[in-house]
Amino acid sequence: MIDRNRRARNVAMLVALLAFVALIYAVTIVRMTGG
Amino acid sequence: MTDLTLSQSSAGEGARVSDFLQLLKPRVMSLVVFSGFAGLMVAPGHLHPLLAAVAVLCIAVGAGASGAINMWYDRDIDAVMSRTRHRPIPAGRVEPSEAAGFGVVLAIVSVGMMGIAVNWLAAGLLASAILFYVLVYTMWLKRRTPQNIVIGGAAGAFPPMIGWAAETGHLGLAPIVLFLLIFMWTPPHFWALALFRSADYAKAGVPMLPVVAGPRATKLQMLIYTLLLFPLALLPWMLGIAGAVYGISAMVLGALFILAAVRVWFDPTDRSAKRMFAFSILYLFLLFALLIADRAPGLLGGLA
Repeated sequence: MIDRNRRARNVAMLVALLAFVALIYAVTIVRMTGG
Repeated sequence: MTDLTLSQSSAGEGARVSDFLQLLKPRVMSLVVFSGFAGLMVAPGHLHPLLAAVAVLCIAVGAGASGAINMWYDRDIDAVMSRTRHRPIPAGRVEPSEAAGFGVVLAIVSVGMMGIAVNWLAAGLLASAILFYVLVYTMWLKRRTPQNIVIGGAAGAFPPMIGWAAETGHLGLAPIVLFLLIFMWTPPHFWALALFRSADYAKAGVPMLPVVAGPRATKLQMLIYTLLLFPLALLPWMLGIAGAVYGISAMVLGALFILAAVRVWFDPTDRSAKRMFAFSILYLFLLFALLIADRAPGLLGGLA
């Protein structure tokens, strides 16, 4: 049970991190194109 | 490993993703996000849709961070109150230090992201809102004075100003009016809850107004605040931020809010207070929905 919870948390953290990086890229592109 | 060490070590490890989401106080967050979004929509400007979405996300994460830090600090009183004893920390599903770290990291990320992606005025206001909620409300006022939610309510009133600042890069009279609207709405909203939860607050030693001054004085204060809120809610119409549909609706909603306070005054039971608490949420939601609809092309534009 604990293992499953930890795995879910790790996956959630990875998804959040990837989404954050993608967001930084998107914001950079928008700002560089004068948005 | 003994049973004791097992139970201690499992507190954090047994936490589910949903426990961490619960730390963000999603229900509070939804109203915060909505009022922040309204500030963004009402403000004149042409912010790129992606940057506007980032601004709303930052407001949401900042509000969530405040909630997590609040749950870390208030874990002792949360464990005593029946309304809050199932929260992740008092229930033993999340370690206090984990919640604090989670909140602080999210606060830094949200403010930093707002500054880099949108502008530093909006980031500064977001940081002020978080610090006000954590330091002034949670740590200083909540356990000391029955005026806790009156002054502390300012933290919850920041979002429309943050939204406005994100869109325009500056402040003015209009965002301050939106701030004052939520500021005046908070006391009758929160005291309605405190009235039917006063035994809980008394048990936890939190000096909420009904606990310290009694239900009669609280009900009178609630009525006074709803009366003060009535003309204030009309200001967006008078200042030209919103049209006639908003103005007339604000009058009707304001009158209903006053009526709810009058009903609470005459009702010796908790029933009217519960209904007023529910209505207060609907009141603020509808006011800001009308502000947004006023600006959304094709919705109320032709009517206002």
